[in-house]
Amino acid sequence: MVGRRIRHILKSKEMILVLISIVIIIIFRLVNPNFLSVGSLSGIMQAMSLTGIIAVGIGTLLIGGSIDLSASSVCLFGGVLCALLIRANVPWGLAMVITLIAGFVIGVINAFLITKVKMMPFIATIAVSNVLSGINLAVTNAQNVPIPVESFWWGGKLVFGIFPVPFIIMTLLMIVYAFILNKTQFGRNVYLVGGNMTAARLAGVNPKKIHTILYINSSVLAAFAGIVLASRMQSAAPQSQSDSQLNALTAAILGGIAFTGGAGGMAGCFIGVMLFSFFNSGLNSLALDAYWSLIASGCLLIIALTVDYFNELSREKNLKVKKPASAAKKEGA
Amino acid sequence: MKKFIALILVLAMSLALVACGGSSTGKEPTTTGSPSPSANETPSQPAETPSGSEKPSTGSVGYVTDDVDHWARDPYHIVYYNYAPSNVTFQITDALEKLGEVYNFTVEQLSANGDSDAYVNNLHTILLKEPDGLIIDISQELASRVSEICTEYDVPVICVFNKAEDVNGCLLIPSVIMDQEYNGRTQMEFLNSVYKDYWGDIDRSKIALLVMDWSSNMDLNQRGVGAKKRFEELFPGNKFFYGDTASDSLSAEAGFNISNSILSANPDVEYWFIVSTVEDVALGTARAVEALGRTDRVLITSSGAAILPGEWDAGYNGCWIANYAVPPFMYAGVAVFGLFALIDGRATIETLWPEYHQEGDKAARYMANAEMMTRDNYKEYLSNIARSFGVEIS
Amino acid sequence: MSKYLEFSGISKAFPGVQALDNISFRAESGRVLALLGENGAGKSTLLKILSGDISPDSGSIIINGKTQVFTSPHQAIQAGVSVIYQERQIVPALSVIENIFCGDLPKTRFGMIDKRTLRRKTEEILKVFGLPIDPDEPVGRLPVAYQQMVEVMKAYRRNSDIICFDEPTAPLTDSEINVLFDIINQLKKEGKIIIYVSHRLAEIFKVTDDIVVLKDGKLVKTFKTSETNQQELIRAMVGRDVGDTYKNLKRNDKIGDVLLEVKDLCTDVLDHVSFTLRRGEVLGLAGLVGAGRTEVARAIFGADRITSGEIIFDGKKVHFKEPKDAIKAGIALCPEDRKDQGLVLFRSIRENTTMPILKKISKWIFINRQEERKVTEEAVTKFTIRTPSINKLVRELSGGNQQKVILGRWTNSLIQTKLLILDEPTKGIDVGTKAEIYQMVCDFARAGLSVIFISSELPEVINVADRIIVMHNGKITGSVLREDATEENVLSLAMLE
Repeated sequence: MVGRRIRHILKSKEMILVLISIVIIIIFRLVNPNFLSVGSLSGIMQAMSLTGIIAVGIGTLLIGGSIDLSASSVCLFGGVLCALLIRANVPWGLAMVITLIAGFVIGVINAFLITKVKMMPFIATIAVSNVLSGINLAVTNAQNVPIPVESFWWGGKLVFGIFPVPFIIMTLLMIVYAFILNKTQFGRNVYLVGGNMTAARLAGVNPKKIHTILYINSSVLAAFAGIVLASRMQSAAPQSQSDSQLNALTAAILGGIAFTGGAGGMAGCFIGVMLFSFFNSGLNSLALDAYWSLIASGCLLIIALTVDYFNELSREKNLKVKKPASAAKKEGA
Repeated sequence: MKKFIALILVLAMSLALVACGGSSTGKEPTTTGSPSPSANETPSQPAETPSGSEKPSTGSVGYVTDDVDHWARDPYHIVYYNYAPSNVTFQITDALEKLGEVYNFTVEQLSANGDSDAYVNNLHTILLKEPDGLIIDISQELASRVSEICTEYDVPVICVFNKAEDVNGCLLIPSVIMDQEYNGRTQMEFLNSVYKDYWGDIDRSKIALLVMDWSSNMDLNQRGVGAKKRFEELFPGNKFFYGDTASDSLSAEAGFNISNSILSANPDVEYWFIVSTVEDVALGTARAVEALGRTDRVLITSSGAAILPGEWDAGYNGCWIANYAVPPFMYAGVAVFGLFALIDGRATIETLWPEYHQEGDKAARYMANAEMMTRDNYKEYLSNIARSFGVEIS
Repeated sequence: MSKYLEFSGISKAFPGVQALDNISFRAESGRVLALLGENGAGKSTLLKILSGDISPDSGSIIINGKTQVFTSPHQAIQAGVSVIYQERQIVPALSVIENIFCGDLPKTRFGMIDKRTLRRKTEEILKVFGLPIDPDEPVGRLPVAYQQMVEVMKAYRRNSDIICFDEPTAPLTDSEINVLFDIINQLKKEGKIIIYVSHRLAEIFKVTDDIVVLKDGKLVKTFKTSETNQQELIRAMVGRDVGDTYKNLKRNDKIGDVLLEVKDLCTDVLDHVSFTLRRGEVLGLAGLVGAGRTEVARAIFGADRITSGEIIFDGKKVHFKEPKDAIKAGIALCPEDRKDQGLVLFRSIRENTTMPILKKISKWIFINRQEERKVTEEAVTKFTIRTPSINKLVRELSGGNQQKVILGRWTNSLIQTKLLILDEPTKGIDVGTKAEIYQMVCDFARAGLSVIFISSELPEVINVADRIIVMHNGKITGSVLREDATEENVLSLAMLE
């Protein structure tokens, strides 16, 4: 029984990703033995955390069958709002709470546009993203907002000398969300709605409510990521081009969360984020020209998806052999 | 199969998004591409007068010292049209507004938000409205097209940061430009002159240079080139490293990640000079150095007057010690007075700033050279520059 | 030589069912031949073979003495066959001219489109048809009837000798139907061979000359329209020997009080539907495809919007806005398309079974795996779902087992279903499992549930239900008790104008 469980885990998608990660680490270490030294490790974990926190939000939304492309802007907005509040002498704990509430409101707006006004999620969230970018610019005149409050700089601190605080936060979040997705009614409903929204509705689940919660969740987490970033950098940049949501999406999909919804989980997400970050860091340590990095990242995604595809194929093949003839439909007249 | 197609679409979308993200950034206070091959080498002007006010030879026009009564006329309306909004463009607008209060003109800021097609189309519209004067900055690849458009209209135009050259490298519109290589070289000169104050009389061969760059922009690139060249002259044989945030984004976070990787991958290097071509990246680099606990062995310089002064105001006193200044008043002020001369008719494109004319150009290349600002002198430096244009800033 | 079309020994089998079995008949030129039969009789399969969409397992098509083998629709078109389907095959944004000459635009010497010839030819065709249509009008803007005409003109332009119409009058008004019939008569005069597939007996008597009746893939009989009548046709269409399948069903004999009252229910498809249903009663809902039966189910279940009318359930007036509310009140629906609407294919049997009862198997927000396993295994045993584990993904199950999962979802010990609506529950399921499902329906009734049993299979619906309501065109056309129901009278109610 235990043996079967272990074999099941070894064959799973997540295991393959872990193996790829190990291979990548070995390759990079061979090229530069200083890769993954303590200093760089905490730096890598910092990069992981930003992508990871956003990935938790976008990932669960993907599982639920929808998508949020406003995460990057919400992240920047969150940082700017928090910074401005702190500059206005609001205690940073309160500033954080207010920023998270702002994230909540943005999530409600997204959900409203998508479930009530019935806009396509792609378009609605991009529109919201643009509005937030404009607000950021207007409110700051595109200037950085330094945050001179030392106690707020917890984002850069290390725990046990090696784990950055954001990394601990990200890991905790993933554990909590894994729990929610696997063990609670809500988590179950997320998978059902993402797997087949029509069937879910006809079986008593309320897809609109689930999506609303997921959009709020995504925006709040993105705002929190912005707070973490501002804390690490000790200032908020209103207009840095951010690929953070793209990275989060890539990492989530790498980790097995299906783009079409209904599949994947936090374990895969964590490994996907890890793989993505290790890979990027390894590339950085080689100090290659920028375009090689892009090419390499693209290839990584292709490889991971191809491996996944072939996995799917072999699973389908087993299916076809066993399927009995009774599954055919009668041809109508 | 459907899933696979969906995933391929994701990939295509991702690559497309990244590609789009990579090209136009809102963050280029850059400009002046590499010196065009036809022009003379290093036109570095007498840089002894870092304040923008020049002492022109008699007969020269287009400076703050021109003998003109700006209040004896109706207010001029000057449009400032930039390619993409960034912290620098906002600073320039702010400077223009303050200058406007002193010298009797109104300012209107417009932007193309990084869209090249929109930039060109709107330019026509703006010129048709016939403002009294127009100040522009452009993306360097648009230079020739934009220059030609401007010469078709009667509106006086001055270009800041970029060279408004046509395809043959002939400058068509008076431009106030930064000598990028000089920028990089000056940073390296500075580092060389102050490092002993921080590290003592150490073995020079132990110092390595890391240039943090955003390689998508040629102008920024030149800063790194200038720094590297000077480094090789001053510290022959020392190690050199290159970090490029173009694979990520133009942000502090990218700067953090990349400099962190490079520094940790080379623990044998004892002392670091880090020249960051962009301020945002420098911020992240500073944080990375702090996270690695190496602040006593690293000195960082960058270029700009937007972020570092803000940090200093907020109390920062770390290893990012100085910037090559990009004082907004220098650019705004010089442009405005050149514009006045053109608007009033006291000069034409050909006769404006004759000291800065070069062979083969129609218009003048005003080389706006600045100095290094440190924590001790930045306030004074920036207010001196503003004051030289008649504006008091606190 | 008079032209003719002959089907000779055409047979076609799909996995699990023989769609056509040795079909042979002839259609003469200048005559309209009707293809008549119930759903599943084989009409559309035959049309698909004729149009080159699929190939027969055996048999051949002979056109004017020449045996034809079509491996693609293009070849069929070349051989002179045009089929006008129920779904419009026009390009809405292009003009009438461009649609009529679709794929065959005449070219000038230089290879450009010869617009003058195009226009001239189009106007000629319009004259032949006598239709007031502007040749430059985008077809998407024409009324549906004229859109159909454009397709007929396209067939005409192609010089198709064989023109088939598949349920052409469904979207047309009476006057438009007359226009269509005029055109068909015109085509007859020109010697075309016309095949006309329809359920509407009145039309068949108006416009056709010959009738071929199919039943369960076999050719029952051919008639000359002038020599037969409605009853004879219906009798030919039905009448099967069902054997013992239904004789041994243990039925419910204790029918209780009224559970559901539907009064003048209207939606955008339904037209004043009214009926009652008692506890322990199995109500069959019969009718042809498109009659509105699924819409009735969805309206009661709260899945579709009701425009007017009343529903009284369990003594209370109800208005369900979402299926969630209907489920809470005790109504359950097994949808027509079990894969797309009934199941989340990539999740397990366990998860699919417990979809509506998550609250009941949870302590606070956490799902109690023990309880979940218990109720799922209960369903698996009760319905004999053949699976090694309740964690198996439902997409790996056969159709019959998938249906059982859905049944298990609605009839386990943790859910109080009072009314169970089954929409085509035995579609695509093997005979053995079908029999199991019939007995299950009766068992539900014996346990006090009310069942609405929707099916297009006549023998099924009249033998399992206690009472059968027949629908046509969104209206109820009649009601028959099981004792009095025959395939004939139910079918004639289903085809009633």
